[in-house]
Amino acid sequence: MLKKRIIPKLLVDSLQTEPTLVTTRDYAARRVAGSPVSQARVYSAQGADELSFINLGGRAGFSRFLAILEQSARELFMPLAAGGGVSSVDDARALLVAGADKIVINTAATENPCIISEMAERFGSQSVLISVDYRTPLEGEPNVFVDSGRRDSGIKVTDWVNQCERLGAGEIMLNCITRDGSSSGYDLLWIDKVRRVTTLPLIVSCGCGSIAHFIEAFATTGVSAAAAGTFFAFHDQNPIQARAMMKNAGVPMRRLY
Amino acid sequence: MLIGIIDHGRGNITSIKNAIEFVGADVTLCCSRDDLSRVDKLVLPGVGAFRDCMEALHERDLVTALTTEVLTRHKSILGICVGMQVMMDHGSEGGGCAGLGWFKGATTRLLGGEEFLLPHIGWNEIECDAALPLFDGLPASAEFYFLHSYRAQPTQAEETAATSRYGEQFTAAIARKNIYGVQFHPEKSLDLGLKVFENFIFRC
Repeated sequence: MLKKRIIPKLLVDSLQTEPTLVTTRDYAARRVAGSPVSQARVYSAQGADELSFINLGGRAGFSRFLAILEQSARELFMPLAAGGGVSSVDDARALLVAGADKIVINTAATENPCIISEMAERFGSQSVLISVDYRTPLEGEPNVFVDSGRRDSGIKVTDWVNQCERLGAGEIMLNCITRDGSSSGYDLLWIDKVRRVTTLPLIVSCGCGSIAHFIEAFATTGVSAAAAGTFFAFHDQNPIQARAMMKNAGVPMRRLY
Repeated sequence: MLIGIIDHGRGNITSIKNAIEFVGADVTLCCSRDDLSRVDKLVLPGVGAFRDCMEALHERDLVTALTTEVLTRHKSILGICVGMQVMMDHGSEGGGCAGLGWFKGATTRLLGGEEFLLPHIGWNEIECDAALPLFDGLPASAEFYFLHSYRAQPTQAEETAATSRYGEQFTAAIARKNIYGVQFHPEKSLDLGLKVFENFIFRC
């Protein structure tokens, strides 16, 4: 049976000479949370199913981010997704060569959707993970936000997910910016709505504040995985405790040896 | 022990190289026919789709030389993901393409379904032939990381070395003599994946 995954998110501020791990709130208000490589080691030892490395330094920090990824991949033999500032197929290749298996992409894909099919053809659909950032509007359907949550693309979330699927994306990560760093729980409403319009595996992200939030997301929506940044960086719980409680709640989880 | 990773020139082999070095073997990348004969064992990684993988092998003129090393000189080889799939006669992905033909049968798309979304991404259990040296020392129902939408279907039942379930039972590994293929990613499957590499390098 395919297991549900929990994915610690590692947000990397690569603008520093010595890149740091940070957490964000509403995609801003950064808090320093340590060193990315050491923290990745800790998460791996604590039974994370996959890691998601996100570069917050854009173009300027891309090469430092690559070095962090490369260093992590040399010693962590587990699934690694990476992105942030990917603007071309060459950027994607550089991440794969550094040791990522999946490329996380958002802004560049909304500006030039063809990059999705180019990446899918070149590296396989399974390597193309579309990060869909959105803010929950007071009413109506949310739009996709780009440029680290600063700009409304004007594209409806469900339309975009459909388009990504047609273009050959392999997986979708839903980031509700409104809940980022809030520890108030995942946006179950829109996960469920997106679930109904796509057959791609979904990763839910932003808002996790307790293990109950993971359980709730897996029990009430059809998501394949749940990601969390602040939760793992600043709470006492680690992935081992989370997976034990989730298993007890009936969520199918990978065994640890 | 020198392990040659067949380099298609399309990236994505770093993790395999890292994992093999971690378990204690030397690694070299094989880009040409001459490179193949210099190594003790071979690893064929998967890139992109079935057709891409075969095109990459043809572009580098590796198909005949690889077949000679494996079928005539009996050099051990481990195919990973698409690297396993291309060992079949044929692949249906992207309009159909001939494979290396070392195993009878085709690579076709998983059935999928409402609860079985494709790609099949994540950790899943395998039931394997415990007598096979490749799987030496693995616990029962060991879990590995999968990332694929297609699967190999060998027509000779005895060539299926492991199975997994995702809406259907599918072939998770194939084996015949010195030829091994795994659908999952040992380089991404933590300790059990490293165990598979160790077995391949020192026991197969």
